[in-house]
Amino acid sequence: MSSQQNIWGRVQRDFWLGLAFVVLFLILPAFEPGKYFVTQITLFFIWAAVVTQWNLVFGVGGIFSLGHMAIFAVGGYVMAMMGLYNEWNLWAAMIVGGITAVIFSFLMGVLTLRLRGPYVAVMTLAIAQVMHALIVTDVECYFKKDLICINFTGGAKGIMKFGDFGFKDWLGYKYVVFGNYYLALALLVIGSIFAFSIMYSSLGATFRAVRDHTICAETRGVNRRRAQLLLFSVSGFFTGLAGGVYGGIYRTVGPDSLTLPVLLFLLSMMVIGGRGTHWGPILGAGALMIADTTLRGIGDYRIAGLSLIIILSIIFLPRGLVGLVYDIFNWKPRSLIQFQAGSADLRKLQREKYSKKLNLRYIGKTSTL
Amino acid sequence: MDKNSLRLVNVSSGYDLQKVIHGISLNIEEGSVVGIIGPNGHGKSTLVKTVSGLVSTWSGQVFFEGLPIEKMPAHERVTLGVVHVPQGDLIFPKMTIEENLRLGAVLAENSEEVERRLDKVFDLFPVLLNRRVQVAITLSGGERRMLGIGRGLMSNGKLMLIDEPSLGLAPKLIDQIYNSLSEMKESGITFLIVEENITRLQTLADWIYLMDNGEFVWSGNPDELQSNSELLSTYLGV
Amino acid sequence: MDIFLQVIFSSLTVGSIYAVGTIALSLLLGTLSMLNLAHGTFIAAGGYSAYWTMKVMGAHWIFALPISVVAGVISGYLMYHLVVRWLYDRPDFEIEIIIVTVAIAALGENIFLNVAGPEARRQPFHIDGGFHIAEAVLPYQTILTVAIALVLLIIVALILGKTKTGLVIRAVSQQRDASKLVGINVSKAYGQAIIIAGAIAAVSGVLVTGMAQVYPGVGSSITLKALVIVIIAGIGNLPASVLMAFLLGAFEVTVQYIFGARYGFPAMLGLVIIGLIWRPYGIFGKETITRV
Repeated sequence: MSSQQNIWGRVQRDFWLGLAFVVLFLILPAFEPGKYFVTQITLFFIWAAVVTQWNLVFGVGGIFSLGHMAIFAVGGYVMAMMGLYNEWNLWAAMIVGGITAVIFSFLMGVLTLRLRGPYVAVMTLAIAQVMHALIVTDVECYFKKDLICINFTGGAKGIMKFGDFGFKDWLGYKYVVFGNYYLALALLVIGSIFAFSIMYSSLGATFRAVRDHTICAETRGVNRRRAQLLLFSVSGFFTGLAGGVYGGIYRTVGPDSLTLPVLLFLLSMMVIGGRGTHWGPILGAGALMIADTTLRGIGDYRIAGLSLIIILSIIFLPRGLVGLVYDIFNWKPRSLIQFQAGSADLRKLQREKYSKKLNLRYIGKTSTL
Repeated sequence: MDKNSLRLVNVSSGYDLQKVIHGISLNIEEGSVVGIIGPNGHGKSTLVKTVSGLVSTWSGQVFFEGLPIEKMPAHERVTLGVVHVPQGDLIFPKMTIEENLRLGAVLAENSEEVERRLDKVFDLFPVLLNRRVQVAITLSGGERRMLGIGRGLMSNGKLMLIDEPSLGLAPKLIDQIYNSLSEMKESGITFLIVEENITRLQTLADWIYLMDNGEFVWSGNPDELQSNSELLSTYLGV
Repeated sequence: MDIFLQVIFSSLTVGSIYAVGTIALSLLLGTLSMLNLAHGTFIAAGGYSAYWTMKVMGAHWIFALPISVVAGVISGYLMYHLVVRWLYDRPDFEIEIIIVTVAIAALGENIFLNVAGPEARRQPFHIDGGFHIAEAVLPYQTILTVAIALVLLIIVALILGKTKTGLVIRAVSQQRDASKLVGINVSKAYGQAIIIAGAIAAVSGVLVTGMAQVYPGVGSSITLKALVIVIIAGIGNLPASVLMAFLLGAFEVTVQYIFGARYGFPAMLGLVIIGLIWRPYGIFGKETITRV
């Protein structure tokens, strides 16, 4: 069937694009771009990884969650706590963080996915806000370390000194930056492979069906909620992992990831990249990291700038940059759109035979009464 | 002076990336009834929606009483007198019959005029008068159809576009509807009727177009259609 | 006894803030399926304009509410004219409007921040003092807020039920295509609804900031709570939202008295989540039937 060929063609295209991407970024550090540049790209990898999962859930799965950062935070916090309180190796703790994030996503899904689409947004946002509030107001001393009061969740300043990934011992101080870089790249690549597999799988087709024709799909036995719950939970793993990677790289896990500016930043990445598309998250993350880095000076107006990007994007580029690229390559003025006759059927062949017989093709002869 | 109520010149339109109707041209003289027949899914409804404005015209022109309206938004066309009674009726579900009808005249300034039209509609469809406080979503198919047409009348339509008036109705009801349409025709209203039920349409229509695959493939008066059995069997399975 | 009474009075206070905050939200959500996360912007506009009128311009308090209405109307008009009117007809409108209003809310807050500064100010339009009953106090401001909440409810009901604009909005909310076919300008209807919501939200903003303070982010925290309340009450049911506002406000205050301030909203959210599991369409809501 032609659509099958179509998909295989797209898989191949995505594969080569992905390979090019990976190779490019694998060898990039060899060109000595400088420490600042490398850390910015590392940050790009992490955000791209997060938005990839968020896009999978939001754009493909149709789960309009605005609380994705809560999952990110859970991953980071669990890792940090295991590292600080239980003195686990950070790699192991990170995995535990990821698994906890899965459980958390599952719970969040169970609690909110019964609601109609848009209302999921409110409830998930509320959950993230509550998490933020609870952490920031945590002022009780959990225990005292060298006379310093440490809150259970770290409070507003966050958790620190929970260990690190060991790059310093492994690679030497100078190359810690590259350790982080490749770790983040690995995170992005694995997370993306997962995301692309979902999108190309029957699960992905299920979601497209549900998104485009909810009632129709459900009457044919598609269990939307179960599929969404599964997707929500599993993508939570990579999101939580990203939270761990972020925390391990910056050596601190705090409630800032749960604030509105971060939400806005990531939302604008997803929106301008192209909601629900394959390469949208990476494109969007890249575009916004570039913008954010180059426009460092306008600190006060950063929020305003991000807001405008989102608003203008939704109005003028609803399918994002990916949509724009697609439109450029596939642009056809309306007049040239071929008029397609309906699919073949016996009656139609009969009609064609008949109309040829009587030379009937005078279209739109006007009547004069 | 243009005695045509509606004139389409080489109109094409469709949805998103799919062109559904192609190169449609037709004329409807004021006060006459024109029917469009043809197999389902080939663009009849799309054509009507293009005339009423629910679907935008891709190319070609649409003239109403000589005025080009193809770029006008749907709600403005209504003020000119183009009234569309859609397939599936599209009633306001939570409002009563009377509220639905009055909404038909929502743009009218003169309240006496509105009452006059309302009385005329109730004359034409006594069933609606009986059930005037009943909520629209509880109505039967036939009642909804009458409500749809009645609401169209309330908009003081000069050109009524009716999409499948007999769809899903029992024969007796169909008769009733068509009798009302006859009465309306006598008061000077122009009609464009899309129908699958050719039998009744033939008695009312002055001219018929046959649409297939988004194009007109035949047009003529009802008698010609009747006598052309080959046409009937190929296209309409009769 | 005193604590009990104080909890009741505090509940009324908190509940009245929530109640007045939900009306405009419920209106837009119920009629146009428009989840307005920028509701807080209208609230802040109301609060700041009242402050400006009385403190900066030195006008008599009687001008505060009317000016705030103007501020709300302008904000609403801008939101419609610059943003919503491009989006209302799109199939993805429900989602796109959420994303867009998140951005508008942040933008609005940023504008207030840059124009007025981050300081929290006292709202000059408020009444000090209250009824002293036993050892508890029922602030006059609370009574004022409850009264205005009820007045706003009545105004909305009248607009929707008795005016032509309201009829048009109701028609559009029930059947959009049919509305077009009777000559209704659907875009304009959206504009009118948003302007009405803006005006109401701005007035509620004056009252809300009277109890809290006027600062750039004042709208966002109450918006989230108001949204949660509207959802659990049931979409489109304005009286239910007001009722739930008081009930949940009471619950929040009680939890705060017993367990501490920081557990108030989390507990409220928890209760709402449980309520939604039991009744996903809200306690007083109805499942909307869409014809296939």
